[in-house]
Order: sequence, then C-alpha cells, then structure tokens
Amino acid sequence: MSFAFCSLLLLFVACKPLERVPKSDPDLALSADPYPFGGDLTLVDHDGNSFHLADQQRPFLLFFGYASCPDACPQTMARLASAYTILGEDARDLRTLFVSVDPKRDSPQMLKTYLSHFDVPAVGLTGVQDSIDAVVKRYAAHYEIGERNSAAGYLIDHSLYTYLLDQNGDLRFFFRPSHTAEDIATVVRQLSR
Amino acid sequence: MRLGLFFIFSLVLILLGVGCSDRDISSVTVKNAWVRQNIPPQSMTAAYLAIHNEGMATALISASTPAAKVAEIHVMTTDGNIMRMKKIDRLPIPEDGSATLQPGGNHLMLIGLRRNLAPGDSLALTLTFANGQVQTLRAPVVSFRDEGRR
Ligand SMILES: [Cu+2]
Repeated sequence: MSFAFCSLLLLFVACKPLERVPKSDPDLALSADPYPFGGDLTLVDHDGNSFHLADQQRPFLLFFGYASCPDACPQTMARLASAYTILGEDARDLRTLFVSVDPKRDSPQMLKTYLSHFDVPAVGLTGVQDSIDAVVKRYAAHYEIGERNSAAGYLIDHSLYTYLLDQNGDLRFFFRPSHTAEDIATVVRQLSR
Repeated sequence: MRLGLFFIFSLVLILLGVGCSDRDISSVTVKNAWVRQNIPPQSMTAAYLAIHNEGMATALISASTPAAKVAEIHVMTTDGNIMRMKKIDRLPIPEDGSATLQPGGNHLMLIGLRRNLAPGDSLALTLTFANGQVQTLRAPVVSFRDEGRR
C-alpha cells in the first residue's frame, strides 16, 4: 500500500515537468505557476533555531540528504558551489537548504560543520522524525534505510531532486542529478526577471 | 589417422587457450583514480576510477588502502528518482570491456579513514581482480571545488 503510494508520488514527480514546461525549452524554463507540491516548512536550523520558510522572503535551493552520505550529497553540494560561482551577484539572495533525512545522526552542530566545508551559503535543517517526514511528503520526495551491511553503518537511499523555491516559498523548478551547474545557473537567473 | 589429427587439433586449441589466459593475467589497467576529500568529523569518503580490460571477463573482488580501515565496493542502481547504494563482493568487468566508477554511480567507499584527506594529499589504492591481477596505484584527493567543475 505505502509502496503503491510512493510509486504514485514518484510518477507524479517524474511526469509533472513534462506537462508544465513549454516545449521550446523543455528542460531549463522556470515554471510560470508554482507546482502544487513543495511549499512551507518549519524545521530546526543548524544553529538550533526554529526555521520557518514563509518568514524568509528570499529564494532557496533545497535538497534532501544526510551528512554521512558518501556520494550523492557531496556531489550535489559541489555542483551547487559551482552554480553559485557562475551566478556571482545574481545569487546574492539565494540560499541553499540542506534538509537532513537522518536526524538520528545529524545534529544541528554536525550539519553546521558539514556544510562549512562547501562554498555554498547553506542552512542545514533537521528536526524530529515526524517533522522531517512531513516535509519529505510535502515535497513528493522519498527516503528509506538502504544497505545495512556496510562497515559505515546504515546507508540511506533518497530521492535526488534539488528544488528551486522563489521568494514566496513556491516551488518553481526542480533539478535532476543530470543537470549541470550551468543548467542550475540558467534557471535561477530567470527568477529575478 | 583422422582421430590423430583431431587430437593434435584439440591440443593446439588447449595450448592456445592456456596462452590466452596467460595474456589475461595482465589484461586489466586502471586509470584516472581519485578520491573525494572527506568532511570531518565524517571518516569516510568515496574513490573513483576507470578499469579497462583487454582480456576475458573478470571482476574486481577487493580494494584496500592504508588510509582507511575498510574499502567496500558499492554499486548504485536507479529506481525511479531514488538512487540505491548496495555493497557488493565483486564488480564484473566484461571481456574487452570496462567499468567506470564515477560520482553518482559505482564507487569504492573508504570507511574508517585513518587521517583526514585534504586536497593535495594522495593515497595508495590496491585493487585485486578475479584473474589474479593485483594493481596498486596512487589516487589524488580532489576538493569539492574542483569536483564541481568536472
Ligand atoms: Cu557508497
């Protein structure tokens, strides 16, 4: 049942941009209307303060990950750092939200230390399991405990979209892992127009 | 007579076969190895490389480095928009083929790092293949900044 539900959600995520985005530029055009998922969230930031998206009034990139993620998360952060370099002044207001799906291991302090290693103005967000799960659901994302037999302890399988939210907190685009730093910069620039 | 010919023919085939598998002992080459810098306090990271095989099908069966307690072979499979990471015991390398370990895909996971790996550092990686070949190479540590430009 929950598998069917997740599959449906995934299908929804996978199909949506194809419907919405104009044919002339199928991959890199900002959606004119917000997507019907994503949106407001309240979690705890990496300084231990409450973080409420609706209060922020600035654009964000958002993705789900965890600090001990060995491959996908550092790769995404490295790509975002590159996008910020390309954007320069155009990314003045843009912040990145790293939403942990591993609250057991990712304390606010851990997230802060982790994120300080990247040239990305990022805020780590965590919270109690239920709050995180609610955000994951709202963003039509997915995660689950994967490999348990690694010497690294458990690994987490998670969806790999990076979401672009405008200054109203509305979801306007999401990037796949195949999108390059240049692609991200191209779409982000459309926000200020 | 006819049986004799067949016997000689078979012998030639067998010798050829042995000759080929001799060649296979050194059929694998490994290139472009690099390691992602780690993020303290995390004591693990991933290593990437390209394996080329000019012989019969074989497999990567183990990896090790003095810089980490454990090196595991991890494969990534895509399932919808979710990437799944699994630990495996052998990574098949096809006959006259290659296997590329790269970000977002298969990798060696170095767990229990004995030192922090900062850009500019490098480490020795030893790879063992099912054909008996053992390769040791040096892998430079790459910064996030350089990785983002790749
Ligand atoms: Cu791994």
